[in-house]
Amino acid sequence: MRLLIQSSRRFFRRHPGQFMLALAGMAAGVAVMTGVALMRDVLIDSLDGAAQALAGPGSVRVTSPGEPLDETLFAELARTPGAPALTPVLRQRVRFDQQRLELLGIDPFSGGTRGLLPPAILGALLESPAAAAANAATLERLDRSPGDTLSVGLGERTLELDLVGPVPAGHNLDDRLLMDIAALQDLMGRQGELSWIDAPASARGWLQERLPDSLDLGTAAERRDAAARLTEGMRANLTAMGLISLTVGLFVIFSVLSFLLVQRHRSLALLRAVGVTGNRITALLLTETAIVAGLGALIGLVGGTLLADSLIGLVRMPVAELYGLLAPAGVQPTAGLYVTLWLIAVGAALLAVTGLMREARRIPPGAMLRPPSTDGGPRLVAVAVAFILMALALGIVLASSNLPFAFLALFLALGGFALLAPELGIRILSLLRRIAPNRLPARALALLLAGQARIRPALAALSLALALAAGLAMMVLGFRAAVDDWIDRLLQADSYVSTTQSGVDDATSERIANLPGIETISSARRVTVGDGRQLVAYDLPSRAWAGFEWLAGEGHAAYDAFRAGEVVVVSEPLARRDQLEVGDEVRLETPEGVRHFPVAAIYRDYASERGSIAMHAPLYRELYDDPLRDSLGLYYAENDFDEQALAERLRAIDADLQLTRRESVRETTLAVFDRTFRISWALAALVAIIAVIALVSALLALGLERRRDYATLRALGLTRGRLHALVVCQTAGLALAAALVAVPLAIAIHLGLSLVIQPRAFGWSLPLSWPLTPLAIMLPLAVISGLVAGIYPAWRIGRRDPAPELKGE
Amino acid sequence: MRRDLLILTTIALALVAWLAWQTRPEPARDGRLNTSNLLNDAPESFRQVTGPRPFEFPADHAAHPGYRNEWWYFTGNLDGPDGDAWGFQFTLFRFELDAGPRPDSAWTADAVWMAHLALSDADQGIFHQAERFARGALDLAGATEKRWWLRDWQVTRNETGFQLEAGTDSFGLDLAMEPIREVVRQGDRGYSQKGPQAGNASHYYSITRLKTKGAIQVDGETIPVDGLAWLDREWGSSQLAGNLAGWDWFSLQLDDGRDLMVYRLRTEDGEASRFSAGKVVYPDGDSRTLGRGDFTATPQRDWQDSEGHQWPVAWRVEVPSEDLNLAVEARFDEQRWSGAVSYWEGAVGVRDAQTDKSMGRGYLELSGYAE
Repeated sequence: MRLLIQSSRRFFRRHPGQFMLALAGMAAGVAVMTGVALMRDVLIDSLDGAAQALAGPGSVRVTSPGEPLDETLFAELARTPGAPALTPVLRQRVRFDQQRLELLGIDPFSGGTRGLLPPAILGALLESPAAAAANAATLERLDRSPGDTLSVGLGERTLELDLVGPVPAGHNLDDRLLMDIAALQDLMGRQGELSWIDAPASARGWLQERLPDSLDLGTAAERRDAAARLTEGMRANLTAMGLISLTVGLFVIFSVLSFLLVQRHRSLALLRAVGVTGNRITALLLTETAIVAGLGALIGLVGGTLLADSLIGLVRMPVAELYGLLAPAGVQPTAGLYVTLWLIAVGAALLAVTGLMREARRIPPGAMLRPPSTDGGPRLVAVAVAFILMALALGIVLASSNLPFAFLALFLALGGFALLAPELGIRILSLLRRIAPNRLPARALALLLAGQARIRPALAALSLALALAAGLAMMVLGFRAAVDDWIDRLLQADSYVSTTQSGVDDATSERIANLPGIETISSARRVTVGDGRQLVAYDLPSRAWAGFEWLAGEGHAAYDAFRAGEVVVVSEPLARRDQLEVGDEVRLETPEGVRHFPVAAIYRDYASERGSIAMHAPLYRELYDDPLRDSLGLYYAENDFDEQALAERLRAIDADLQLTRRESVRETTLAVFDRTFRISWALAALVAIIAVIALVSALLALGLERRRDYATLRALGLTRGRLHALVVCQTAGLALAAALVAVPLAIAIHLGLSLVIQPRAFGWSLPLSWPLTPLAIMLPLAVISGLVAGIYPAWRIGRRDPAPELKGE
Repeated sequence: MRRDLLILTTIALALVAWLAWQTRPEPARDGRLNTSNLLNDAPESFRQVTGPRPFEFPADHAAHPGYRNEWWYFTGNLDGPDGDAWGFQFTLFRFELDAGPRPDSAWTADAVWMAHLALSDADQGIFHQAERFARGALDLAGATEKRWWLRDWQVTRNETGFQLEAGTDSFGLDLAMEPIREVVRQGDRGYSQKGPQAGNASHYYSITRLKTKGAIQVDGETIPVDGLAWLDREWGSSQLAGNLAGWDWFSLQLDDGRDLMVYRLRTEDGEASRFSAGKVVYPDGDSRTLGRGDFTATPQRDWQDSEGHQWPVAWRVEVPSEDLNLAVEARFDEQRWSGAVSYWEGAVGVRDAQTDKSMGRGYLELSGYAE
């Protein structure tokens, strides 16, 4: 064995590039996988961060659904004999620039917050009513030091806070500023209010016995579940990207290792000839793979952690905007996660090279020359398996409507395609060769095709990565167009009025309706009812009603019944989640008791994943005794309306009213959308980079395997420049073939994500669309990447002295 | 070959070390307070104790706003039905906050309260301790003439004396304490000077014997007990001079009916400050003040806690004028507080240093040894 390891070591010393390439492929794949896993955890942790930081892990939480808790409840509970450690918290969300921050009003002497603050910070919080304490990471992100002031915005108000710190607490306090509860209540005018009370998990029974029924007692697991459900779509998206990048990374390993095998064919045959058994050879290759994969995976874990830390901002912002969750600003890796990922990666790498092992064992003793190419026509078994996998995927999609199964199907389909891609790619290369049979490019492709076994993994990896990036881009563009269309239809009013206060009341809305030049107004009030469903109360003129896109039911005809309060209409996500159809009834718990309303129609909606029920506003106001509106839509009597004058009149009615033009509502919506998908673009770019590594490694392997052929060509008078051109033609051809194979797959991925994954993940469907721009960009980009990727192998191959290659040394 | 292996292993180890560093736990909380600082640090806005004042009861049982700190301090030794011996401590501390803007909120407090509850199982050598904090707001903590409380831990004053009710999941006290001695004014008519500066003093009174009867709960078991307790009440603002390292305080109830309180204020070089003092209370209620020169207290044996700090848990206390030469030793060593404040407060036995005859029981407080 010692002899074997010596030979392996000598080889890697002579070819450090190969070793590095294998490491890089593994590391890149594992890095994306690790980054994704860490970001997923951050999303799940986001709802529970404050509780983790203030009350410790696993705490239970007392809340009052839909309204703040009364602080006297805390005092009463705390004074009760046997009371557990109770942690009262008042939360206030504020803004600083584009960032969202939470002010957490705590009692530093109660429950879990006791001892959280070092004495100096504690003293500062108690003695200065504007003092807010932050952890070191938050101070750094805000670019502030203890002692600085921070101006945060709350609606139209600006509050000046005096920063103290740093609080010795980890990422759970990121972007959360601690204040004394008395100071925060005073600052916000929220006297008497608490947002929640946390208590240790063991206190659950004690609390259950004493809490009034109107209050809610939730566990940490329930909060994590809620965050998990809220962010399900986003996490699923990340997971898919992570798995795909690992797969592409494994292709790199496979192609590098298979190339190593080719290079060492001679020495392995020699070893066999001196009596080394096939088992020994297998053991040697397994050891090599384990070392390369193990080290590469370690580098990947480090890279992934750094990656997640730098990309986390792309995830945090949409999570805050869409779900109101404040995710930690840094990742919180655990040893368990690292070990699991490492084992998965190394295990997968070993599995990926089992085919090579068989090949190595079959090297006959003394076979000094490389084996004749065994690449005959299409591999029927692979093609058959590919079709079986795809059929299976289709079956799963048709049979099940849940998200994990949809992802399983996606993976099966991609796996099937990965088997099929090399066959298609090789066909395409053969066709390309025939376009100009006697030119250098054609000869280059012929040489390429002679080494089919080496280019198969590269073709699969490349086409998968390209298709994934392009398919994802198509889905996002299609989705964006759908959202744009939806918001455009929905925004029927000329402008919108909102308020920084809790809402617009009857009198104010009537005064606004009576302003000169206003033809009519609409209104909307959005409240969350049980189970996260949203109830939207609309006052809609018929023009606004026309803005709904009806997916089922006679929406247009239902206008009168809606206005009569006889029916409601529901959004698509709600219908899907609750399996509602037109004619079914929705159940609503109102202060007036439980009421049932028939569903007249289902409308397209991208505003809430949990789903919305739309109800005629006068009915809502009557049932819920809530006279407020969140926003009003203003319909102008004339087109050239003086908005400046309107804005002034509104200010005269109430200084808290804000006028927003229709166009800027649309722009804001699309901006949020774009921010949500930034992480997808970032990951797609990373997958593409890994694919380029795959391409380079495959070409290097190929080039070195073909060195005798190249040497022959050189000896026959092919200049170094022509040889360079030959190699670059090969890489560009390979990339083009992969890109062409990727086209149908990209379309399939786009359709799968839009029609299968989106409805299951978010509840909404996307109208079928064909945004072809990503394909138009992908093809030339792939060829350019192929050209660029060919430069290094061309230089390596061209630099070789042909004589020793010909001698077979 | 070895070298290559070494390089690869080194790289791998460096990577693993970096990853391990990422998974480090969050920084540990350290909310410990310095005992001496608690008692010597007070802005000038606080009221100062500069001389004797008449005490008025029951008014002086209530809190005294305007002073930086104040405490209600019960200690005692109890006997169970099977000859089992117990020590207990219940203390309420009030720390008044610096004057400043007062937010408009029911949570706005003028003081922060801390309560310490301890039960020493002398036979098993187990020290049960529990600590609580609360702000003086929302009725969470306070002290009136009738009631001293922090959440549900409370002492109520009734016709016969005091009723103490306090407990946790694992232990608790329910004790009726009836004074059998008059209130003793410590120092000069209750003015206890502890340092050279004006204000280095407290108002200090004690009830050195309370006949105590009731029950204790330990691990779900209720045990009837009786014995003797001691109450100390003290308030002031900057009680200690800045150069003090800590103090050793003794409250001893002797079988012959005398009660002895002495405290040794330790300077940073370990010597007894000249403001160390004490009091002997006679069975008829008379008392005599002891000055620095009237007594000596000499440590005999140290106990090392788990953090490596040394606590002198055995002493020789000599009061020649009272013909007392006492060997005072912890009933068991491990009676150390490990909460926000590190100090040792425990039940002690008292013997004649010459004859080794038991002479009584008491409590010992040691501070400034873990800072």
